[in-house]
Amino acid sequence: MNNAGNHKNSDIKILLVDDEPDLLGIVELVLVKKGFNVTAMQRPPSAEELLGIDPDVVFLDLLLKGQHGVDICQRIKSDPRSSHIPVVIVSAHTATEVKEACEACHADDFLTKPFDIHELGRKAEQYGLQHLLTRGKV
Amino acid sequence: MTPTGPHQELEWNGASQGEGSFHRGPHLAHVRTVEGDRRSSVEPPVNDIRSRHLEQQRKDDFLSMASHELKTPITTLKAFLQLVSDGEGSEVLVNRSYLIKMADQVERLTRLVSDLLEVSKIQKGQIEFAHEPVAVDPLVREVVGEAQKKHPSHRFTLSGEADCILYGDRARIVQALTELLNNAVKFSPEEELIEVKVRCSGNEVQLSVQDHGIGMGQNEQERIFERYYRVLKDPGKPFPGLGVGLFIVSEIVRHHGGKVSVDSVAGEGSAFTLSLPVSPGPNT
Repeated sequence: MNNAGNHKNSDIKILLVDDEPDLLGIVELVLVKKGFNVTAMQRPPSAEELLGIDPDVVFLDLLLKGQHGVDICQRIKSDPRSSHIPVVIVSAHTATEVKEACEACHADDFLTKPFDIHELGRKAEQYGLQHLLTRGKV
Repeated sequence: MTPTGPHQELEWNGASQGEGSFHRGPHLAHVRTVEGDRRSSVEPPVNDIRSRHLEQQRKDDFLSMASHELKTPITTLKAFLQLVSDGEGSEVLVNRSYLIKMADQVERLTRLVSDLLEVSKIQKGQIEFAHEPVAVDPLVREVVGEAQKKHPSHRFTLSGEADCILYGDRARIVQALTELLNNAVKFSPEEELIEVKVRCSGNEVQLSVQDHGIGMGQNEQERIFERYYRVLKDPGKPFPGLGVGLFIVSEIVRHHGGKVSVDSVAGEGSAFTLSLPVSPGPNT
């Protein structure tokens, strides 16, 4: 699906981080079906891994093994090498709680579970394209 | 406030008085409709308010946690169904591994809802127990056999014999033993062996389930049968579930006049033992 210029969804690199393997698998499939270039991880990436993947948007679950999504998001946003990467927090908490979490870690947006896959696709495209444009990749 | 007509007031001591009483919410205790100036003011004792507040906080936390636990499998199922209904994922319908994963999510939801209902029934004292002769050996073999089918990732062994009959609710005893076996699987993801032992001695049947998983420290052992208590999987992240499984087990065993105990070493595994009287228990 093309929305702007010459970009294709396959130009948009998405990183999914969720420690629920079944959910991660189906969300990965949804985004792959929409043509995105997807990397799925069941644990938070290290700073070096993140830079290696070089995603255009990160979908980050709030409650992960060993680490809170807010801490991971803060780490991404406080590192000048990765602060430009849009982060969308995904959580089963209430919208109010997730908004607070987003504010605490300067995340760009959030999705509350159970989310709509079309909404997921829209956010992937919106933030991915925005990042491609800011980085001069399209 | 001048009582000039029908109005509502809070009644803190929970003593419902007359018709028109109804619950508005747990922390507000009773709200009753009062006609005209027929009112009585009731000052709530400070300790009552504190304990009601704590109880309300506990209920709020539980509802929040339960809602969180339910949303994860719902999200997985919703994404799967949307994908299929959009016509973009027709191959997942013929891919057995996806179907098995979705069935697991339905099972997870079913278990959560069932646990919620069980706790609700226990709180209201609505659980009824049958009083029937139960042959122990066939029951244990049946439950262990089912667990082996359900959890091929683990190896269940059964030793001992209990050629005796106890009086109680067979379905509930099956439920309690099944919960212990599921628990053993849950807390020993890396170690496949789960040992079940059964023996009948004197007036008692003992059923023990030993896993070689993560085990737990003394503090956790002291709280493990508490309602809503959940063992932490990682710092700040409990194992999935509502924290009611072992509470339900302890209630079932209590109603049979028995006891449940745990012996555990962190990092080495846990052994849970059900002791049930062969003779009719006090509540049967």
